[in-house]
Amino acid sequence: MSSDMKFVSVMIVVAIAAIAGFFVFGRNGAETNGPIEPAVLTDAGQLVREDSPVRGPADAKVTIVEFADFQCPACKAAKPVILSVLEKNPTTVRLVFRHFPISSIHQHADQTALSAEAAKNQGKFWEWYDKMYDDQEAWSAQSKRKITEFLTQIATDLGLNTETFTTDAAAAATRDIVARDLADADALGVSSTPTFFVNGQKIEGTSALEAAVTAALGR
Amino acid sequence: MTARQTLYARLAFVLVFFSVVGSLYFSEVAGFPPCKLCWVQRLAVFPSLLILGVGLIRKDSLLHTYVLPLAIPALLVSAYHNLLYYGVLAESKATCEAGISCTTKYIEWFGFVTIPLLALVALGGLTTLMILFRQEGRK
Repeated sequence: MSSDMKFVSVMIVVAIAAIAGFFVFGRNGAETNGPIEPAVLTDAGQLVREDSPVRGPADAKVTIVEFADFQCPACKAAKPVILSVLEKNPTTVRLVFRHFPISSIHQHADQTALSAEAAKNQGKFWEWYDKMYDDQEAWSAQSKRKITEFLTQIATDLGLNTETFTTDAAAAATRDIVARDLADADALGVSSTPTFFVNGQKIEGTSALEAAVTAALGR
Repeated sequence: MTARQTLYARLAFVLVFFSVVGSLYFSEVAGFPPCKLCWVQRLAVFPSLLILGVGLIRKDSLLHTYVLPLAIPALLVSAYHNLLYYGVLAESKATCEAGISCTTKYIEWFGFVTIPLLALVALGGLTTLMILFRQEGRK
């Protein structure tokens, strides 16, 4: 056997052994905390749920429902557009937030959604929403190990009771809310963030949002 | 195959070996799903391991003619991927699609070493070694 024959054979055997090892042992422990899956609901497909966070007047003529992921850069880019629409129409437009964390591409998407619900329980959902997008780059860069600590610090900064915040963020009921939002999103055909529904009309991305709101206002 | 060509081919083989094992480690052990651009690059790297292996055993002095057609397009894809990844080219920020993004940063060793950068270095190295192999054969 030539030296190259030996060399290549040994390397190939090592490669196959390593790859086999990856497949056999790899999957275990790769994920400690499974991603949030859409709930199984009989009434999936609702645009607004009773507990969905609302920004703006309850009797607004136009309702923007936003399905978003706090770790999505496009959702961050949408925030100033949405806020300007709300500012221009303070009595006629309201925003409803729904969770659509894309955990397959955003490692902290689930956790920030759960944390937002925990902040909501203390009446600070929109403060959380603003903070998440304003500081998106900083917290997105945190490792899986550090993120909890980082988010708890944000909760402290926002004046939340951190003990309740931590308990709520880990609660099964909180997970159920996000899972329900995901189920509604699936039923409504949402597959990307941000997806808006302006008085029920579906708009993907932010570019057409303002025009849709103007049309819905009848101007 | 000259002694120098053998050296280049062996180096290329070792490089591709670690690329394949590393790539499978990231996807199968660390659990990072490969994006579309990663798949295009894997499409070139995975067969290169066997081609280089067989070429080495057969002492094939035309080895570069099989490897370069795989390596060069993959290198171009990798260059494009890195430009997207490091924000030189802007990826459409219109929406985040449910699925697998080509710009999600899974690792960032020393603050700048990422998976696409490792792929670029590997494909750049493979292409360079095969060009050297070719030049050596022309002497």
